[in-house]
Amino acid sequence: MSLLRVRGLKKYFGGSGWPRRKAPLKAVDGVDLDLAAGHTLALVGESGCGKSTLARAILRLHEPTGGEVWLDGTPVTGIGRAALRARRREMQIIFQDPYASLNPRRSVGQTLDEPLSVHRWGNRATRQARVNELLEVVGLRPAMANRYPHEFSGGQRQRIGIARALALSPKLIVADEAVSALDVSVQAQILNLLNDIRERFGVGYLFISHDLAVVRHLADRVAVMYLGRIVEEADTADLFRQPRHPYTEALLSAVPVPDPTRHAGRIVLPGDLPSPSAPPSGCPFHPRCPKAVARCSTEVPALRTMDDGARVACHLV
Amino acid sequence: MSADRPHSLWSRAAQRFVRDRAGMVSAVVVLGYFLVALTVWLGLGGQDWGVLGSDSFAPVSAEHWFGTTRNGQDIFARTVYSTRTAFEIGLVVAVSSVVLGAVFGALSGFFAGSWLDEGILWLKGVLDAIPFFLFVVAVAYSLQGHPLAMHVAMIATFWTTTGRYVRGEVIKLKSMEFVEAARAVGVPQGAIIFRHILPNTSHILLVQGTLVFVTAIKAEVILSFLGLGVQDGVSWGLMISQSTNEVTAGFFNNFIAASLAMFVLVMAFNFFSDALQDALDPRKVSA
Amino acid sequence: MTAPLLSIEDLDLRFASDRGELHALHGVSLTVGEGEIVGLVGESGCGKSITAAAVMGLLPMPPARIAGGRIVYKGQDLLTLSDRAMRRIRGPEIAMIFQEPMTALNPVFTIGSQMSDVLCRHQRLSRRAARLKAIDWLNRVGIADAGARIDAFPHQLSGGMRQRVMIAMALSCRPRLLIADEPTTALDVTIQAQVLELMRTLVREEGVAMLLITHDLGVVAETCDRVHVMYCGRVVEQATTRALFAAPRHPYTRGLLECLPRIDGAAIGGRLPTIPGTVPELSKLPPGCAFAPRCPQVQADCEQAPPPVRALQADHLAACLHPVSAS
Repeated sequence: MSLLRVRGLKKYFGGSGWPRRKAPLKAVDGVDLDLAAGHTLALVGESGCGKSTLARAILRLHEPTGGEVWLDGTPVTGIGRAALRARRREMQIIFQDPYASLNPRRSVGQTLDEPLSVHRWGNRATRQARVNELLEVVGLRPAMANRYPHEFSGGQRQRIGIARALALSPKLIVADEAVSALDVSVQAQILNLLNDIRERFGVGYLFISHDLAVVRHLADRVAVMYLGRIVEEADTADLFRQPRHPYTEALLSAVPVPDPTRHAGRIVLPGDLPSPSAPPSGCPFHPRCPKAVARCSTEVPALRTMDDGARVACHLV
Repeated sequence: MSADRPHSLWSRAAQRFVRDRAGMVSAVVVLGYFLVALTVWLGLGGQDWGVLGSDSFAPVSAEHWFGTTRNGQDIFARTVYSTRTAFEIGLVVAVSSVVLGAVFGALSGFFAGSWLDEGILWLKGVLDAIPFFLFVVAVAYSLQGHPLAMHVAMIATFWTTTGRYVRGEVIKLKSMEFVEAARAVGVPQGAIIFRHILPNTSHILLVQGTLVFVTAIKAEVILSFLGLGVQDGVSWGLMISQSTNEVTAGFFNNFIAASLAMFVLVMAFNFFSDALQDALDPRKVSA
Repeated sequence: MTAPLLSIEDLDLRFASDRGELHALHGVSLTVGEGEIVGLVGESGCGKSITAAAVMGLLPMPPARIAGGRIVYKGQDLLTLSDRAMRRIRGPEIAMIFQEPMTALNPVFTIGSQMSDVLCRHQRLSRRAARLKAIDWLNRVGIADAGARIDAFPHQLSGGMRQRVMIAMALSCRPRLLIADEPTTALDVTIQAQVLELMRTLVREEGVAMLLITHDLGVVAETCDRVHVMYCGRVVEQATTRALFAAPRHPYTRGLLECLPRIDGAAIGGRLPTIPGTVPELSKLPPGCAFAPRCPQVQADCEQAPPPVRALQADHLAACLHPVSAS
């Protein structure tokens, strides 16, 4: 049984409007995903592809327009506000910006205590002990609980954000560009911490990133998004060795490699990312696709499952 | 040891404020005025402001420090008592309108786009559209000359500016990741607004409070001059109003005392407000 | 060897702050030869952008103060030039592009009028000739339908397109040196590939030298001829790109390369090597080598005084008393 099961999830923005109804912006348009417990599924794509919106829709931080989400076999969608609040202890999120993700007017101790007290976890003394334990888990000193966010470096703040996500021992952690804002040397430390946490507590990660090298390092499976849809999903090793969707292929070849002796043929895609408010007809990638044929501009390719369990949405595969 | 002590944003702002010389001087002046007001409240001074003396227009003397009015009242006592009146009006109006503005602004910002927001915006629009003095007359009339009519009118109109600032700031704050984090943890909506969002607007509230305080004191002078202001007691506005007859007769003591007292307080408060704004600037605090 | 186009010699730069004077650059030296692409790489706060701003004369003084050193461009020290003389250098001699083009473009004028202004001022062209030249440059940077796009306002263009406009604007004055400060950091990876490709091509075609400032070692490896690595206001290592990536000699450079997750190579998963600790604050730099507290091979003498920059091989310099062996 999968830890997280997403079926047909949609998130549209706008689309109401008066007196003239405006066309909705389809940020996420029918996504299916499965994540096994203790595993890491990466969601990659460029800005505006809908990966962060998808993550927030899964957690119901954005109310999905349609579709269903199950966590650990029980539904997260279609339940009331109180029930949802109770379920939040099972699913948590780590944010990108370590400077915006902590309330500047609350001490680290208060920030870490909040999830515990909201869910009536233990009493004051046990909560205090839990806060200290969390700080140690993420590599900080318990004495730091009295300090305020501005007294910490970016990497330390990200550790605090991770501790907050761990407070209620969730089964699923969504990491939204959790290492993107960090410098290389700090990024490696945080990636190792995320790895340790997965091994120690068996949480599953939905790891959202635009950095393919980081994804390759951390994820078991990768889903590539383009304009609100998944275009390819495969095991990490397979995807990086043999990308099947032309977009994945171009994406991989576009990553600058820190090796001056390597001069592999680069696929430079023409054109810009289309706006999700006016997606192209047919396959959304066809105007930039080096391999597009006539059919691609008229018919939306279905996401088909291959023999090895990978899924690809391309007419040519 | 001190280097390892935690510093909240408040203590940092305080440190910065203490280093601002103009701010500190103005704070001391404001504090001085406040102590004067306090002695009146405690019944230790200015109590004989209404006592009619025998000598009109007495010059400055040891007995009458600032001289006397046409009615022989001691101008010093009246000035001192008016300080109390000014602080009473300033504090009541500033605190009430800032609280009102914070609550309405926070609600309309957090629920931006909803009917609640629309309603509050409409109310703000209506209150801002009515000419201020007309509004005061209307309130004074409907409250039948109640001594607090002026306060009510000022609070009802002054909260809108604070409300507008707070609404904008709340809209900015509510999309920040720490608010999203609180939602992800399951913090109830009310706690998100009042525990996470509103405290982060406190720099706006404090500065707005000082600005409203000054505006209220100045408005009192005009309203009292027009006879719409202070109904019992004495104020700088009433003193200036009374002094118009005296000035035509060539006696300036009353006028100078009242306007100078008010001028110094308003100046000091403006400097204080500026320094506070600098010290609380969140961009500098987080640096 | 002929004199380099730009040579920064022992630049020492300080900032006044309410916590006392911060020492941002401790004797930075670097050179850029004619037509050469030189990388300046380091983590945030290492001083790489400040170095660029100092060359362009864009630092507000005060709070900044240059306490020593020279910035020699074509034989003259830019630090001694008047504001007016500097304005004749910026643009026609040294041009700059930034991470976020939106902040460098004026939002209320069309890109055409902004480009023509620059061309009229520096090349003394008529409005008409300048406009034609601007269209020509927009074509060269790969903007489709340049004749129409020239009348667009900056906000009507995508991020990648705006960066192309910035490149066109910078190169249209035919400078000899282009300083690019994180030019592709804000762009998506497929757009970054387009813009990098464009910059490489144009710089080679025009024979312009480029100082590329970035935190991305991948971008450096693919673009630069030579690299300077900065840490805490000092250049800690410089070498040809090939030599640096093949055998980094400073422990910091080696650490950076090792802790970078790779898209190539065999290993997937497991633990990454890390550089322990964090970059020290400028106000709390250690007395010796700034990297000593984080260095895996630190020795007692590292903590005495900052190590001088030494040549380890021809054209491979490092500021380290105990450099990593070359093999």
